[in-house]
Amino acid sequence: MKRRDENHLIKLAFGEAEWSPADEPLDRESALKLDLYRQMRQDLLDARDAVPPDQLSPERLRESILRSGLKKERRTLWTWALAPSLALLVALIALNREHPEANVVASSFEAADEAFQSVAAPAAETAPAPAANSLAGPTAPKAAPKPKSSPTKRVRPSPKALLASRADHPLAPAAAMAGVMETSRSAMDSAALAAPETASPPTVVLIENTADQATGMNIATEVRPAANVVIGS
Amino acid sequence: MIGARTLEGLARTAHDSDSDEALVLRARDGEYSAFETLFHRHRALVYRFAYQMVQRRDDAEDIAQEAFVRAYQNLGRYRDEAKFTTWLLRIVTNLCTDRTRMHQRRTGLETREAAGGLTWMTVGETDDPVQNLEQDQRRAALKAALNALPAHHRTAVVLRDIEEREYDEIAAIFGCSIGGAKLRVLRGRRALRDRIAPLLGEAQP
Repeated sequence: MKRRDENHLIKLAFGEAEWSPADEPLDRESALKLDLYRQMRQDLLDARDAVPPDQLSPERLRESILRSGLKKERRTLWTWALAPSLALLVALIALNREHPEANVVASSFEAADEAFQSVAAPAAETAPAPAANSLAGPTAPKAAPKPKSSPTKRVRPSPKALLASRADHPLAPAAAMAGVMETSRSAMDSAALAAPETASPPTVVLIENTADQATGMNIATEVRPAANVVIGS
Repeated sequence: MIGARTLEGLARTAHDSDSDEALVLRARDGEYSAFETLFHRHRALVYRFAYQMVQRRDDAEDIAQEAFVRAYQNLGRYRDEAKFTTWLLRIVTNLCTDRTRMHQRRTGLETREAAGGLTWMTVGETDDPVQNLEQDQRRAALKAALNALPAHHRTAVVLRDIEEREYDEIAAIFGCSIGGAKLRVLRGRRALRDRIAPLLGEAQP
């Protein structure tokens, strides 16, 4: 039997189509099928009433509503935020694989690292001007490794360095001396920052003036060693 | 004349205030008794549909209650385009589908066992014992075949042929067109027939 004919039989049996005189008389197989479908329809209608009574109650429902809360928390926003982030990550990885020479991910990490170093060592940013360095000569200790700076960044020389570079200016020697002192001080600071483990122990010891209870004399008690202590008033 | 018009208006207002949509609005505003009225009005429908889908009384009660809990929690999302019962039956359908997928095997086994155990104590509708036996056999076969149907076919058949819902409502429940709903019902009936025929000892075409 064709599927189309069977569909028509189903519609006939379930009362969704009318028997028209133009229809061909049914053969035995089709008649059996139609009979089966009609019986099935009746059984389905009978099944509607064959339902045991329920034990639902409004009290039970109220308890359930109170137990489960008024509104469940929705996480749609998180889902929407997660999807673009994942897409961006996948795109970055794909781009990095396609163009390894571009190294997008690595360069972004390097940029972040540079930014971090510039924040962590501000002394390096305010390094003395090239003229002062040249005046310090070989005696100037090598400071901490120079951080990489972007090629577009320009460092303006300090006024002292500008003065020292002009030999004919009357204040040039003083400026040169100040540059030397500043260079050596910054070099010491840089050295202390660069290798704190290897730095020499501090030579200044803080003391506290206390009175001896037995004799009443002043006694100097060592409190702790310290560095960078300003001595004087 | 004025009195008659006022009475008519009052009757309409009373009718409107008793409608499902009006009760939903009141329940949304925090009037829980309105939701309880909805519960009393539709609990039989929800429970019966759930029972036809899962064929177990305790499961059907759980599903019916869960459906009302979800309906209450999501009253704010109900739109007036669909009837409240359609929306409710859609919730029940989803719950039944989930439950059926989880417990399909267990439910089938237990139902078969229960059906077999209860066969001897079934009371017939007629005085003819042979006719009663045939009727019982047919019902058992229908129940078993209905349980064996995939969830989407079963839902379509139960909605149309047991609950006698209109096609536009079935389409709204399934979220498809009316033509799609008709096709689902047709396929469900055919699948049901294919499963019933062997159980009744009829030859497959």
